[in-house]
Amino acid sequence: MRVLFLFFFVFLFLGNAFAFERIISLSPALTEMVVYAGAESKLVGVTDFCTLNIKAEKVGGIVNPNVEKIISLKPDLILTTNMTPLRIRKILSKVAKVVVFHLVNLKEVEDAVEYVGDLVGSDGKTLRKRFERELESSLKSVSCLKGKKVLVLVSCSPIYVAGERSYIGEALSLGGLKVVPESLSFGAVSAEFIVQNGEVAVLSCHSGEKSLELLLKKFGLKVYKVPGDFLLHPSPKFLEGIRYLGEKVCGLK
Amino acid sequence: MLEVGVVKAGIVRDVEFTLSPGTVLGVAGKNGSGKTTLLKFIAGVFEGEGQIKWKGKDLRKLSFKERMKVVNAVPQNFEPNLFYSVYEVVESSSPIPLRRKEIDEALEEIGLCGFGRRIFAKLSGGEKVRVLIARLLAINPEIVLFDEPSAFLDPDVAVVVAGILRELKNNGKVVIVASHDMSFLLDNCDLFLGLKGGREVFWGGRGDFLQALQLIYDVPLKVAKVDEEVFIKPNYRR
Amino acid sequence: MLVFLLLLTAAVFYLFLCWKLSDGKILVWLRLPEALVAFSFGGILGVTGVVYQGVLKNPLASPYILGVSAGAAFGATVAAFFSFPVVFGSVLGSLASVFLLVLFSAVYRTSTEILLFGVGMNAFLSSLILFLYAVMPSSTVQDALFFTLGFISPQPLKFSALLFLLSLLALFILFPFGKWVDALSLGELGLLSGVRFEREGIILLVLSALFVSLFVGVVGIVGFVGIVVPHIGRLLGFRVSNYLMPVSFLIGGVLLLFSQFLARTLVYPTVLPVGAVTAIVGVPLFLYVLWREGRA
Repeated sequence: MRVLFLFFFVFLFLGNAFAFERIISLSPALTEMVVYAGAESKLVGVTDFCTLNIKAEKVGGIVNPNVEKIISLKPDLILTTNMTPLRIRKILSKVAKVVVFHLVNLKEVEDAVEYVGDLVGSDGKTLRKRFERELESSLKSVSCLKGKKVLVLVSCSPIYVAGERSYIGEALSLGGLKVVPESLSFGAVSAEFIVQNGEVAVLSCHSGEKSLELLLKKFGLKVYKVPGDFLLHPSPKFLEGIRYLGEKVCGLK
Repeated sequence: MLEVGVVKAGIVRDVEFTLSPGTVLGVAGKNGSGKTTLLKFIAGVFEGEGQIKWKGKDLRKLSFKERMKVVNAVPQNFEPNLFYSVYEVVESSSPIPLRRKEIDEALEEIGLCGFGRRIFAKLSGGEKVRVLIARLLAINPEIVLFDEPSAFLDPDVAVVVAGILRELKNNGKVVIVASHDMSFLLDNCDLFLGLKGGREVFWGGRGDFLQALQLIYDVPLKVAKVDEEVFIKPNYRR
Repeated sequence: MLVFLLLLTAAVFYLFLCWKLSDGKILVWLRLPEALVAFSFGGILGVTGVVYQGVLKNPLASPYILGVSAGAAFGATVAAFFSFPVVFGSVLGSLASVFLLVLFSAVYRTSTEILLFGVGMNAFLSSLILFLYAVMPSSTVQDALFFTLGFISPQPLKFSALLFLLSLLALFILFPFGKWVDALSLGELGLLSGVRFEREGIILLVLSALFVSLFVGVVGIVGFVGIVVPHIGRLLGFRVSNYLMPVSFLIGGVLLLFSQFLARTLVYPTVLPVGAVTAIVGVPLFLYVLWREGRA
């Protein structure tokens, strides 16, 4: 019995050998991933823009974090995206381990979920599988849009879309939707292109949806509105957006 | 009758005089003595305390534009930065609408026949001044102001300008000429006003003006009379 | 020459409306409004460019020089910050800068002083804008950023027609004052025609700024058109404002229309900000015009 206990202890210890205890996230998406991995308590610093209700200190913006404050929190791991300037990352790397993420397509998001999971001491592979399962189930809710040409607008003025190569586009493609434009991850597109190539438009804008909606309807597109915040999260959070969309469009959850 | 009373305008202080139509007044003084300021005040371009009455009416009560129709000037110099033609410069700077024919006539009078389409900025200094004089002739105000008219002119043109002054006088205009070309003033004006430091130091006719010149310019002058012509110059050799 | 310009206008319109057109509906609901907005904004910039260059006696002046664009951009950024529609904020912002202009014209009474005031305003507002950018959440930066670059978004047809009429109205209102503009551009000599900077000049500047600010509110800041177009007009032989103003309206309209055409077509399906295109097209054009003016 005691041997078993000892074994368990050693195993636990080893398992946590590469886990970090004081984590700062310089991206709301990465914060969400840490929470997804169940390591919320390990977060000591997040950006001003992180929307989740977390008991960590605010350390400034994404592009302009307060380096002094970060250092004073004595982190051992700092999660950033490539939006945080290189020189700041260099300075911070002298204080803690800095990991940079590039979150544009789906694979990058899934890789990040796994890697963040490993870094915080949870099992990355399990998390990734869980994410993939949840993605699959959320995609069922938009199944009524299968085969339709869908445009996802993340801004209405100017018109900015998430194309097939973005994580949103790839996710929806997995669900059988035909996301347009095909060779684009994120970019500005002309209205003409939208009306010529789209059947369904999903508007996820902060402002300017009304007039655009009227215009697109004139050309026979079906228009659905999703609150501005729901889809633009390269983290497990955007699955909520997909489910919301599914409920609105297909009436499924 | 032009009644001018300046209480305070820039450097000019307490200058008063009255002029009848058909008079040419010469304003003499050193640089900075207030000649241009006085002219600008009469034109209405410079702010100050005082009174300007023309035929009993207070000029200052007129709208700015109306005033420009009554009193106008030939400024000392003018350098535009856009390439207008002579016609365009004159038309655009006139308070009354002018026809091309009127401008042509004025240009002819000043010896610039056919200059209408030339680009103003490309003319010589003398030609520019003559255009400005032609402009004034075309506008034909009652009170005419000249600021250093002989400055850029060749002698032959200076003669033409003198002829114009005479003609304006004969047409009953009030002409005021500011200059520090003493000879020019002496030969072309009837009355003289001497300014020093903004104050009036002389008012009177030709004879007394000659005596007062040394006082106005602070320099000994040599005067010579040859065949009824008066020649003055500063005493260059001490 | 005028005939040539009108033909050119018709040609560019045709190009814009009919290039690779697949559907009549697109023509009416998308291309026509876009063409109207582009042409009217370009036209307004051309006309007000003439006014500003004349009144301020500065061949490099543009309608933005007195802070209208900075006010609009500032208003747009603040609106984006508080999640209000950007158009709202930018119109208010530019009207506010016009108001400040009127206020300060009582203090700064010559063209040089007002010019410097404008430069100061621009600098001040630009730094405020940068400050806001640093503080704003990154998703809303997009809106405000594209605004600063000038971007013609799809507009309802009725609204674009209204803007077009507005620009024609501006031309008709400003046109009779061409004589004032010319007089003011002559400085001291112009003063002797009865036109003063402190009165007629400021009126013209404010009137022009009002029209420009409405358009800047909708489209954003499109640079260069206001500066280059009057020079092109002068190069073509139109010097006097009564001719230069309508000609600049045409040239400006054509220039912006063509630029928007390029913005839409060059990297299809992506749309470039039209302000970026006018800068790219405008700079060599400007250099060419300067060169020709120097030789003439």
